[in-house]
Amino acid sequence: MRRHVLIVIHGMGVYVDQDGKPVPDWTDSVTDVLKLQYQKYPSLLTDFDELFEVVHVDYDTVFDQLLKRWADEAEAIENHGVESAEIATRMLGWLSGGQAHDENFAWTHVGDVVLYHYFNLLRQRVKVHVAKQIHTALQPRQGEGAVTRWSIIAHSLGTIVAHDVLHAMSASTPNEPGVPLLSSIAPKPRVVAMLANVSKTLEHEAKVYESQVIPGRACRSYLSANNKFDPFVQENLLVPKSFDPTGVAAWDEAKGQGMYMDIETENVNELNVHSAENYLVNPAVHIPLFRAMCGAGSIPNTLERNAMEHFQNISSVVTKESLDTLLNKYRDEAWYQAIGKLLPLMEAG
Amino acid sequence: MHMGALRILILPTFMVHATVGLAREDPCISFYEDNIIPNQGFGTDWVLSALYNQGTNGCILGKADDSGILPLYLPLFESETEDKKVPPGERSRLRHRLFERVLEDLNSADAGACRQDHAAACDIEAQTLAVESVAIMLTESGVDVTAPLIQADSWAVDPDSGLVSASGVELRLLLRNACSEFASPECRRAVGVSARIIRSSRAMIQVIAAYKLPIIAQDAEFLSTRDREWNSYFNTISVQYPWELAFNSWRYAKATTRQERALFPQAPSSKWIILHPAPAFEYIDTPLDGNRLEASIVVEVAGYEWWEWEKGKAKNRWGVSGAFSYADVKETNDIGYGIVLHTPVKNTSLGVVMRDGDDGWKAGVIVNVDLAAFIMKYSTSDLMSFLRLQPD
Repeated sequence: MRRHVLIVIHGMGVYVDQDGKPVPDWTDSVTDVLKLQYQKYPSLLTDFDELFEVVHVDYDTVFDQLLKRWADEAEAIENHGVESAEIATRMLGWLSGGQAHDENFAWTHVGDVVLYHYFNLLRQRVKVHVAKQIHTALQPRQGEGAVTRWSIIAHSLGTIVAHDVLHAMSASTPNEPGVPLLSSIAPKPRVVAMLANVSKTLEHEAKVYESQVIPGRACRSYLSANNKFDPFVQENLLVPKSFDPTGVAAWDEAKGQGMYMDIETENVNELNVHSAENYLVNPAVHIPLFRAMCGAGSIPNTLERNAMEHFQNISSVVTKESLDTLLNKYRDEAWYQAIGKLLPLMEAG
Repeated sequence: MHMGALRILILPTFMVHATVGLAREDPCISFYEDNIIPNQGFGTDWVLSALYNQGTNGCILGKADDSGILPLYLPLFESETEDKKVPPGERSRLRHRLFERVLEDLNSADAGACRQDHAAACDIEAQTLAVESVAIMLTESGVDVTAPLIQADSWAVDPDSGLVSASGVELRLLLRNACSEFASPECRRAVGVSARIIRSSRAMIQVIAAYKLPIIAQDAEFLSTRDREWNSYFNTISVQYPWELAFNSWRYAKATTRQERALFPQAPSSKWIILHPAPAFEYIDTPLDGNRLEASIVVEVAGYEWWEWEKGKAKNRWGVSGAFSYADVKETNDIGYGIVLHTPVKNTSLGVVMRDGDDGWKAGVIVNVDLAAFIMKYSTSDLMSFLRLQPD
């Protein structure tokens, strides 16, 4: 029997090795955190690995290939040794910085967001690349059969990627009978979990409050988690619009039925507050997530209360000095230069 | 789907076989005894989740499941290779046996009589009718694949309520009614019934997915083709620098609707070339050294490239642009002015450039790096002979 397929979609950053091959390290780390939290609940009887099949979905190769191509072309022009073509060298010189993976936040992180949001051609490339991976993961397998349960966990930039792909897969009818792509292959995902949900800010063709990705349409339930201390999700800090469909009838109804979970947290359990791991360690996030995947009764209220009581919002590992280190990083000029250029562009839409 | 709607149907051949047989203990009863009874404190809704979340070693279509259903649906997913091809007639026989087994499993429940809503027997009856309906539908020709009963969603067990919309069964109600005491005969019966209903629901998802394999294959082919097209657009066709990508993205937005772009549109079959530098070689008649192949940088100021998509590959790719050519040649101007033609012949780009120098304006030939490398490989050949495609 197929296990519950858990599609995990990363956000901005580096998820390829130096040769441009996808590496699942981030997914492995997220899986480890999920597993650790899962094992804390004796009511979850089935072993995590026996129940879940975690699937790493890559799209960073798309960005990496493009940046590498730009850098390679810039280098080729410089190495061609035509001195009189200085204008061409200057046109392209700045592109050579794109291929470094380390200490290259502007390219590896901000660049991902800019490329996805502002270049619709690249957005299409990412979408179909991700869709193909999801479709492959959900296809029936010899010796195991068809998928009966699946879910999505997406983080940061991955939230808009997940949204766009899920909408397209639920609305496209490329086959002979004209049925949606996703409807033939598996039931709706149990939950679409959006950690550090920036989908509203980055929405484009498919508007996030009106698309297919609404509880009851393309998914059974939808979980949105944002951390108060995460600068990437706070409205008017780094993003012009946070995800908040309050007042939209379909979402209000879903919330009333417990199918839309809007979670705000305030924990700092690691320096990178924005990380998926920092979201998942919090029982305010992982308990609703497990319940959405495994059933409302899977974690009884007694265990939930116990977990919430024992959870520390500020981990003892993260001391005041560590927080100061974090704040100093945010005060770094290069950081603000990059963000300062990005925010007005996003506000302009 | 209301239970009443399902009762209209004729008695199929399946009913002849799947008559109420001997009650058989469900394989999940061992699980119930070992794991559910000791955990009364977790509540009745937890019982549903414990059954719902059976894994690969579990009692619902896992290793501990001796219902015989799993081995009957797996062959439906055998690939159609020469040695494993399951012919159409065999597929329908396999499905028939599977339906029989599922119905036998349902009817082997010690469910009592259906005297009130959400009693175990009523749930078994409703589920049985729904399974029989699917069995009938899939034996007919011209199946409507959009029919609610043959959608996976109709058979997906809701993990909270235990609702199976295909049959209207809601397992949470059954378990809440029966399992106030986990170690009671009523709860034992309810667990056995619930396990069978979850098992049969998941088996229906299997048979429906197997039936729709051709549709799934079409969808996979569609996505593969689109993936190849977009990969080719970005990685095979000549690179677009950021300003070109921005311009072509803007054009693309003008040429398509928002609805189209929200789906999986085909990659464009053309692009504009704007201020595009590339390394090249220019065959120049130099004042001092005669005809030479010199390194040059060609900046295509403005141009247009077009092609056709064929199964994910760009074919018949042509293009033309106006260009500057920069070359470090003594006694001539650094910049030449000309036209570049992109051809589909091994991605060759050729151009003609006019360059002013001490000897006046002269024409030169630009070739792209790939072609130049090819020429260099045959360096004993005369370039002009090569371009006239004369044999060596």
